[in-house]
Amino acid sequence: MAALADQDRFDAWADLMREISNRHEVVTIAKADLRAAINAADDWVNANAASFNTALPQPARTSLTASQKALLLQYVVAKRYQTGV
Amino acid sequence: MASGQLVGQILEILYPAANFAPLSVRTGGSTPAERVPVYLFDASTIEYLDFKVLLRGYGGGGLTITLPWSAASATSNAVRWGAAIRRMQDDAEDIDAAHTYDFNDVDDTCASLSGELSYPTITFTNGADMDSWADGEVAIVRVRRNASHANDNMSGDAELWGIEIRET
Repeated sequence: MAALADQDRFDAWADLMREISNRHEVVTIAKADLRAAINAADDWVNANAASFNTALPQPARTSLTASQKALLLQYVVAKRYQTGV
Repeated sequence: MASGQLVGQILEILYPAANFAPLSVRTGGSTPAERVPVYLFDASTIEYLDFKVLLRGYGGGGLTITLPWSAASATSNAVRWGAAIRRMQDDAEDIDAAHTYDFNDVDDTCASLSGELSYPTITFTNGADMDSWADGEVAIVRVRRNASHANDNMSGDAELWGIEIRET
């Protein structure tokens, strides 16, 4: 697995700011600092992708595609955010 | 017209063919809730909104454009607003031809709460600075958020509530 390309990180940053804007959630940091957080999050995902894969039990680990595993993680993280865990 | 008088009659709000600020609604907190139309200017890409304006009663003192706006989510940092004028001179300016918009800019820090307004102004001196726009003429007034400028560091959308054009 590789880190996102710069344009992809830019797109994620832009999408995140639009979503936060739509929710009218308070943001106090500058947009450059938000971009740095996007970059760091992507670096962390890239560095820990193998560890996440190892954490998945069988048969999910070998049967799910990489895209499906990413979607799985996305849903878990989103639900944790929604429930305030 | 005297200084401080309203001289710009906004005939229509126009969306440029690309990178325009879309219309949205900011819901208020009253009962029943207000539903305020606002134009959302992106934080990652330069976006524009055009106004078709008739200049009426202008006396040559220059213009001051006020841009009331709110932050969609931010409570600190600044936005770089810009305004430029394309005069539609009688039998001289062809809308089918390209025009280079020459922007005057202002950096404005958002209000302390995202639902509050800030009222920055942009001034134009009489003459070439306002494309020599003359009394009785229509012009395209183009507003932009220069999200690519170093001084524009506010996260999230900037919500433009409208514009007001007075003689300086």
